[in-house]
Amino acid sequence: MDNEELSGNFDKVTDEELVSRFKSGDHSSFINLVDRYKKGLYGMFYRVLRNQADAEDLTQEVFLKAYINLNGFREESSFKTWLYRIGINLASNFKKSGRYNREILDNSLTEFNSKSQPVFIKNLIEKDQTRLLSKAIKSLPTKQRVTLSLRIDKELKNHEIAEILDCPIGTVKANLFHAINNLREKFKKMGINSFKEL
Amino acid sequence: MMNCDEIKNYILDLILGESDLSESEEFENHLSACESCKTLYSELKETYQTIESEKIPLPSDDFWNDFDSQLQEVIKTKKSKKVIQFPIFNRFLAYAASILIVVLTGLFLNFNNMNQIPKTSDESIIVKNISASLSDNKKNVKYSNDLEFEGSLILNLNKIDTIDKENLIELELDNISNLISLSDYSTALNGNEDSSYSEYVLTELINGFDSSSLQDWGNQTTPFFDPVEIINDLYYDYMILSDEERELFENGLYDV
Repeated sequence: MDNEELSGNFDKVTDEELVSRFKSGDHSSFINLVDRYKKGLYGMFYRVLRNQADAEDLTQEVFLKAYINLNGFREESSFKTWLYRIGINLASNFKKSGRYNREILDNSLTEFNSKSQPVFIKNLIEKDQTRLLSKAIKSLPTKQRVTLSLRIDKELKNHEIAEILDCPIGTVKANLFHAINNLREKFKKMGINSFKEL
Repeated sequence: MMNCDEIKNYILDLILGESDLSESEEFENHLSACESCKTLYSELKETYQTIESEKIPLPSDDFWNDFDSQLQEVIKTKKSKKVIQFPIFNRFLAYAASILIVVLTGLFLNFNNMNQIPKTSDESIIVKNISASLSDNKKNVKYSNDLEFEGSLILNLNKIDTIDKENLIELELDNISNLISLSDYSTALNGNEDSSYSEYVLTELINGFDSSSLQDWGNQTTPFFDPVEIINDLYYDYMILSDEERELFENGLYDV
């Protein structure tokens, strides 16, 4: 089956319609739902876990879980927030499991100074800066990191994030503000003025 | 006229691209008069752009191709769960399940009572704390010692009969969520000689009632006190910490 073609035909069909087709027995509609959200979920997993292999695994798992449970989905929230919520639950369970790949970041990186580095080691610096950015994000309190991870791809609005995390919108906004403000301070401490050139 | 706090709110909206245009003039006026807000705005904006523009490693095309075909395989072989739905009794079911879980939790904790239940503090004090926090919460007053409240709550689900159960159930989930934070759980851990025990209890609870059970209820926020939700939430907060954060956290130094 050609998924590209399939999803092309289904572009204008709503999630609700696809879900109801699924419930009435047309399980192929699930592929279209997957197509809509797989990249967004991968991005969210990567940003929460900061590890590509883990993010890939969980992206597969989230759809498996959604597939198994879709008949039980009551549609009191949108499919999208339901799916992300399963994703967030998976990420939290994953963190406690032995499978979690605890990447240990080199402490010496914190001494890295972005100023006055020769151009020829630019690639190396880019890698280090990416890791520093990772480190800064990883050091955020959980709720801030998760909220930011849900928001940063622009896939989700604040009210949807509130639904996924089961908290008031005010809490989402507060967590976002604190996350960005904390990162601002961390970047300063790390001697980084801007990652823009990355 | 916007004050500096309101400006912070507006800055966030602006950065997220959700600002109210009608307020932009007021914002500009404030910024031209307030150097610190001006700096804050430009720094926050740059920070957000930095993280937004981070190029995250993306899976290869092969990964996505395999992904789709593997999923189709699964769809052929696995059956999606058939669920019998009782929408009218939804709230009742959620309520009944909450009670059931509380009871099971009690059994579980009692079963492991010998030498294992950490002694946080005097039982009567714990119960008093819970009752006090519940009545405060009802009046929408933020309880000054959430830490103790939540820690006690987690470790004393088995004592739920001794407190005002009606009040507990009437609490809105939002209010309960507000009481939950890392530092709350931190107290639960700090109060114990063996913090791994709390962790173990929570693991058991989570494994027994994993998040899919929530999904099966229909994934809605129940208006009732839901221990699974709370425990999931706490557990999640804790488990997602890095080793470094966890160390701070267990020493009570973690800053939320």
